[in-house]
Amino acid sequence: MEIFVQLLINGVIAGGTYALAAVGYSMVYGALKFINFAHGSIAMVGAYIAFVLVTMADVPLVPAFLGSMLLTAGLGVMVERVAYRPLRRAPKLASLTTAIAVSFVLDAAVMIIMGADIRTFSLTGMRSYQIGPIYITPVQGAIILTSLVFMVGLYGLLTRTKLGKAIRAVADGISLAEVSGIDTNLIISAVFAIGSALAAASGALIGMDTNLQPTMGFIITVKAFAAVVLGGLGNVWGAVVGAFLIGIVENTGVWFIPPVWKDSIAYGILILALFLRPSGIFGKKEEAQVTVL
Amino acid sequence: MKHRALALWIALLVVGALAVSFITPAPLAAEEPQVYKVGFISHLTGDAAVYGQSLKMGTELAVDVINEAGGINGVPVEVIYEDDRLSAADAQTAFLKLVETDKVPVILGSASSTISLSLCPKAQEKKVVQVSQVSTAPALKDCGPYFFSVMASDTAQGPEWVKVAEYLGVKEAAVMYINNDYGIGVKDTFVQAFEAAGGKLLIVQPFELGGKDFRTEVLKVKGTNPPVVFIVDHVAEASIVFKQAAELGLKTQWVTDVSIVSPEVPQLAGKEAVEGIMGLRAGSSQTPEYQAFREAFLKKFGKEPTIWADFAYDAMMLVAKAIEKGGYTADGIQKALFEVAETYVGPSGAKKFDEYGISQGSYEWVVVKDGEWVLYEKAPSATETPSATETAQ
Repeated sequence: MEIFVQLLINGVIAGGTYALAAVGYSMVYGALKFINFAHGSIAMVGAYIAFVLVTMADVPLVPAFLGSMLLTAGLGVMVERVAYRPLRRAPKLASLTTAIAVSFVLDAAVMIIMGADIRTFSLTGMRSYQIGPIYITPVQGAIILTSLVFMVGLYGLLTRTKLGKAIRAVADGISLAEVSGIDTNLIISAVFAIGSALAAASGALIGMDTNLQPTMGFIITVKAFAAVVLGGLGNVWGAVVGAFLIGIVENTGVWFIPPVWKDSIAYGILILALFLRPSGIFGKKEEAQVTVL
Repeated sequence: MKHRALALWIALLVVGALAVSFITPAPLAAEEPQVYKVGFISHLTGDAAVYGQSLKMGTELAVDVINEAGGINGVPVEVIYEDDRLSAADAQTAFLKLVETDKVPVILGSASSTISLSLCPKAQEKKVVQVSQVSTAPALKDCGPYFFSVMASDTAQGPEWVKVAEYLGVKEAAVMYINNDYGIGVKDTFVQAFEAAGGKLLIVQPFELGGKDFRTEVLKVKGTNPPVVFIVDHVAEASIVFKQAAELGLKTQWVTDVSIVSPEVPQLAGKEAVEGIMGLRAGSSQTPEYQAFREAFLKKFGKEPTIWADFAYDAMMLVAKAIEKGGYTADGIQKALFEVAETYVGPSGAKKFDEYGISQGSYEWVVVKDGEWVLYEKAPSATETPSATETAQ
């Protein structure tokens, strides 16, 4: 039982990092109806920005974390402007291919600038605390807290503000939003800014909890993608639920089956869920018809 | 329309230029080559870049030494470095490039046993000598006559671990291993030798290459309260395992395989997490050859020798000596390698090959002290059960 509680907490920690990445992924899909395969690489860049700020520029941890979110938001907006906007009217397959190219470019750029070595934040005084039967480190606590705070903040933004209303309008139908007088380019930039900032948070927290590598973006993309499809493409809350579900099932599942299956677990649940509900847990019925590409 | 026509012309030109560059026959090999090219394939980027980069440094140092002494009979050596990113497919591409375009008769690498195994059928088929610096999976002995490895097979690591267990006086232990050719090889030899010696295994826990979250695996091991955990792993994953084990309150004596005994591990996992961890180090750091190598390495790179750089140095040196003796052809090098290795002693030890082209070796015991791997000092009573290191000395 005690072990189970620890496994559950470990699952929530993993789920928290997946959720932060999945939300941006889902928002981009909602607005532009294409899978942004560069999202994990954006998270990786965010992790490296935080790393450079902390270890090379001696910026304290929290400002560095926020600074990385801000800078990565800028990067996301830039990527959209340069790589995706010219292709907005092109078939979705073109944007998808470009996204894959963007992820390669970002990975290679970081590898050239920072080297292929594994890096670590080397946070001092990071010991774990024992609460009842549970061991947890400050970074892991921060992961759970940060993901919760940002999810609540995002909920407020999407439901209570004019910007949120405009984002939802664009997601419902970009042409309709345009004729209603919404500056869709601006809104899409905002979507990329928010999504990339949250991805940076995810990457930086994963980096602090474990380590950094220029290739770390791929696995973030893979997990976030599974979470997004599981939750229902384009449904932000579905993505959050999907992310935590995958994190928890992965961590508890490995207790019973060999870890070689660990990454298959996420996709196993995904396939099972899609059999039962083709549009994902929270997906709208008609979205089942929208092809992934 | 005009633009489209222009673009078409440019495209045609590019395609034409590329085609010409492919068709143009390579200049026929002159009687006396200007430079002896040697291929090198390893993981220079990606998850296992630590090893590839380290081997590259050791090779560079050897090339410096060879060329400063006037090359091989006056002809300098040039190594062409290719990256396999720990992917068998990329290794194949690199191999074909080196053999077809650069026409090298000999290739150094790769580091990972899995990648070396994937390369060896092609190397045998094309009759290219493959000298792996550190690949140690037992299956490599079946590769064929063109394969060599300058590090001893894994079959030796398991029994050495059993000696550590005997020294520590433990009858029960846990094993954690990385689920690839190398990890399974070491795990199997240890499990066999440990159980034959009357030991009891509490849990044998695998985990995956490239993972970042090993908490559940660590918790399973922790549940068995093992006095000792033997772990075979790579630097990247091991650092996370040690860190997460410390975070989850697993208190045990870790004993590692040779791949983890690298200065990066204490840096990545954090000093506190790895203090007191024991490990096996391939070769011996106490020989005069190693000390000379260490000084040269410090001078060139400004840091302590990285993991297995000494093995890479010896592999390059042996290849150079074989070219000198047997000539710059694959068959000449293949035959000469056996002969030059008979007497060669380098920083990583004596390199005499057995019939399968695999060197023998010894281990020394090391331990992490204040964030650094240092020689493990055995209590006086331990001298009664000599380790392979001591018998080798």
